[in-house]
Amino acid sequence: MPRILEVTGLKKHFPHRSRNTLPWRPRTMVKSVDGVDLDLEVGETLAIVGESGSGKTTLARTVLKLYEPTAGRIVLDGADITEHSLRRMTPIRRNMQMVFQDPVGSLNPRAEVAAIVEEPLRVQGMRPAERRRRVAEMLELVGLNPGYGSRYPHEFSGGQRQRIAIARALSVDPKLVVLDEPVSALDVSIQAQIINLLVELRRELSMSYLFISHDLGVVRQIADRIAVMYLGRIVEEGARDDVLLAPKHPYTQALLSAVPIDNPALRGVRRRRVLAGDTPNPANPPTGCPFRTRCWLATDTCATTAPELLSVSPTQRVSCHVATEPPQTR
Amino acid sequence: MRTWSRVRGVLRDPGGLFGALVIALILIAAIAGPALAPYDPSAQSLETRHLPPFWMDGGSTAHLLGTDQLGRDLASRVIQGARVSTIVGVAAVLMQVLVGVTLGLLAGYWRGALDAVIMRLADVWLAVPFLVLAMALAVVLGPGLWSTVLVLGAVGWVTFARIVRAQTLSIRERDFVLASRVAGARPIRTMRAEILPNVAASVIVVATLQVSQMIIAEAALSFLGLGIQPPDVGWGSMIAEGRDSLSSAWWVAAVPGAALVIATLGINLFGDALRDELDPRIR
Amino acid sequence: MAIRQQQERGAPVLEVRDLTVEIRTKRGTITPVDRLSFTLRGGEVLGLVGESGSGKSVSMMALMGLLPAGAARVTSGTAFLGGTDLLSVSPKRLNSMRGGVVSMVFQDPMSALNPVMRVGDQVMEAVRVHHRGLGRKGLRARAVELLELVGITDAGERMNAYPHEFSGGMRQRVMIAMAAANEPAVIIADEPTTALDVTVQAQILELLQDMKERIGSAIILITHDLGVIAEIADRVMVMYAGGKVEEAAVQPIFDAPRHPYTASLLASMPKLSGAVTTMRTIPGAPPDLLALPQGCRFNPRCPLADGRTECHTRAPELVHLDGGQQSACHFPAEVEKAFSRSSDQIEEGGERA
Repeated sequence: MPRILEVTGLKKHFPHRSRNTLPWRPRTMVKSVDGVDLDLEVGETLAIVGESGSGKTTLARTVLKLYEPTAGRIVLDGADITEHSLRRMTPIRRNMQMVFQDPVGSLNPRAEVAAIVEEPLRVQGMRPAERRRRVAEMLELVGLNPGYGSRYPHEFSGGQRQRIAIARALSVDPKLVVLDEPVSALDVSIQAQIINLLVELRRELSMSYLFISHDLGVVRQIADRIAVMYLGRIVEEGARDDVLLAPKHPYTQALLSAVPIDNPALRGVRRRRVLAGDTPNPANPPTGCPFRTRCWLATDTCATTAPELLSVSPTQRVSCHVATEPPQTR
Repeated sequence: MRTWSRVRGVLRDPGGLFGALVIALILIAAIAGPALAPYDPSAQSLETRHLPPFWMDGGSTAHLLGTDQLGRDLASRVIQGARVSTIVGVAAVLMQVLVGVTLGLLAGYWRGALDAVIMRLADVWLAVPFLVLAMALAVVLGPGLWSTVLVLGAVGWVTFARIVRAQTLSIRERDFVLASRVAGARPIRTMRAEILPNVAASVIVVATLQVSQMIIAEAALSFLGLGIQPPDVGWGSMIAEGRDSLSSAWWVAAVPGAALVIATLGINLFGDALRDELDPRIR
Repeated sequence: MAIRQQQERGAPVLEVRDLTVEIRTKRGTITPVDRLSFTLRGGEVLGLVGESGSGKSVSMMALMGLLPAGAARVTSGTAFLGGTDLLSVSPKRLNSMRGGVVSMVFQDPMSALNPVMRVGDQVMEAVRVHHRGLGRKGLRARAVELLELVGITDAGERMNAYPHEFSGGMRQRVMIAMAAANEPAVIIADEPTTALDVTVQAQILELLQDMKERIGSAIILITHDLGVIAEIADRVMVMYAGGKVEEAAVQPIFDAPRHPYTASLLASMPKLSGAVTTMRTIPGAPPDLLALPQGCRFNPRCPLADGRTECHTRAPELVHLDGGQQSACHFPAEVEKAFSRSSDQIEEGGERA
């Protein structure tokens, strides 16, 4: 399969703001994304899973070149866009769109729905009459009444607003859509509607999704492959069922075991791995393996050497010194 | 729809209603002044000098608000002055809005060095003594209506720049601004289409209040002789003319003074009601 | 420190009857809580489930006397906690009860903690309010003890830190320490883990469970997440559009829900086991409280209501079914057939992790 997106060695570091830093001292950097490789085939959905501080949102925004990458390469549909200027990015944006988490914050409260949906079309230079037709078509596609174009975002419910945001993203017929936690701000009963819509649209319009989420249940519904991030790095990556049913990295295992199961009968029966503490501060990550401070398998090697992402099967890669020693005897 | 409900909201507030009426009166006076005025505002008449208003002894209904030391009809002159006040107030504020909003947007959106430069400029600007600037301009350009507008317009932009910058700083972090970049919009378009509509409400409110400030400032300048020059008539210069006869004919200064107070009070009340309606966040 | 006598397990602690709250909005008056009745029993965790606008948070705010003054008011009902009616007691008395016999844990610990006050001082303040006699030394000792109890290491040192120096999970621990400071009879936890990462959520749920055992409080846990309910609740109350639609022990809620809304919620939850198929959805959105549907409030989204006049004309009363289960549905017996769940979940779920 041809690849729509190839990312190699991507890094995004931000200067760390500290009130105590004097101007002449060297500034420390927060390594939000610290060496990420990933690729995405045409028509595929890759989910990036992680908790707060994992760098998943920064990764999404850097891939879209909303942030300038610190290092690495981003190749979209065969073209290296890493060094593209703002001007050269404009036509590229037709092929890469985004849907945000918060359906309230991502729609301009002072703009009519039609203006919101047609903004990408206008920027990409489509003529007004054509734009109007396209807006109606898009609203219908996402399950909204095309006559709603003259209303304002506040007149809609959360789920409807997210539909508007999806219509905006898909209006230019993009090849790649980055979805940053698109359902986590929605009520449970609405989440499923939006997930179904996204799955259906991807099939119909043969797009690829980069799906950012912290919710493994949601990810399972939509992803073909899953990459798990921790402190700016991918710690495990593989086909959906490999990662969810046979996780190799201790962090993935802990993450899965922390997800509440909707069956009270399993309380106490289920073996649970409760991690101690929180994700370390990305401004001051541990040496060696980033997960070692919370890992119950950590050895001396883990403190000194950062593990590489290695293949454990044709469809699964893991970055852990211990997990690559089969078989596990715990 | 939305606009109408807002207008109704403002008018439901007693202060807003009073303000709207005052503003309507000023505008009517400014536009239709010559047709409304009972006399030519510069027509002198030595027989009717220092006539008091009609309700006082010696007053006459021919000159409702009395006459000044040259026998000119005060009511006609106040009406004439409304035109100057409107022009100066609106034009000066428009100038401030144009400069202030542009600089505020740029500073808030780009941050960094540009922000630092613009905001330091604003600080420096506030340190320039406004009266000295006015005098300097009056000397260079010659005093008059348009140099008054220029002086006042040049002074007040800092207020707008500060407000717009602060709001831009927070709005630019909202996702819909990012969405506009995802759409491929250039920064200028993002600022105009996404950020500007969201700061507009505050700008409109502050601009309204600022108009009354400018009318007072114009009066002050004119009072000092740096502003409006004859044959133009401004409320400030009228007060200045009444200064010499304060003890004998106080109304010559009091009539334009009252007009000034009512006008600024009305505009301020209107602005407050507008703020409550449009943008409850600021102050 | 006199430990409050442990509430007898199963004895009613808080009895709420016909609680009704009205809120005046620009467009009209709404009733976000409509004749809500429930009983909280000693030593239990009562889960309160609902979506936004269901009235779950408003009802708890009403009990705590924390409704925004002016716009919202309690129009009827009683809520007896140890012989005192929370809804008719004087504000002053209620104020002294808050943080004493009844306390609260909020969703966002960052905004619930004072950012410019040291953590230790805030915990000490929570203790002091109800222990006026205690000296500074005693207060401090008690605060350190509380922080240790909620699993904060180096508690003595951490007393001097400010909230922003703590992680989200640590802040929520501090909130729990403050809520538990006076061994309240009732702790109301409003989405206490929603803002937290899933690995931290697991820690906090464990802590809540543990605190309940230690101090013998009964807990009302508000959440939208049925997974959290399955983890920690003993009994469950489901709310929709201001009213209770179902109440039962936790197991029957998951095994045999008797209200189509509960069943729909369960069906639309993304799961980690079973086949991946198109997700079952609840059509539409929760109703506008200003324009509630006629009859049953759930009827526009209900698969059982099609073509049935009853559902569209008469609001169902809460009926008591076998095993103490309550449902506000005209056809509780048909729910199971309409929503048959896959039965292989237990085995698959057990395999994991």
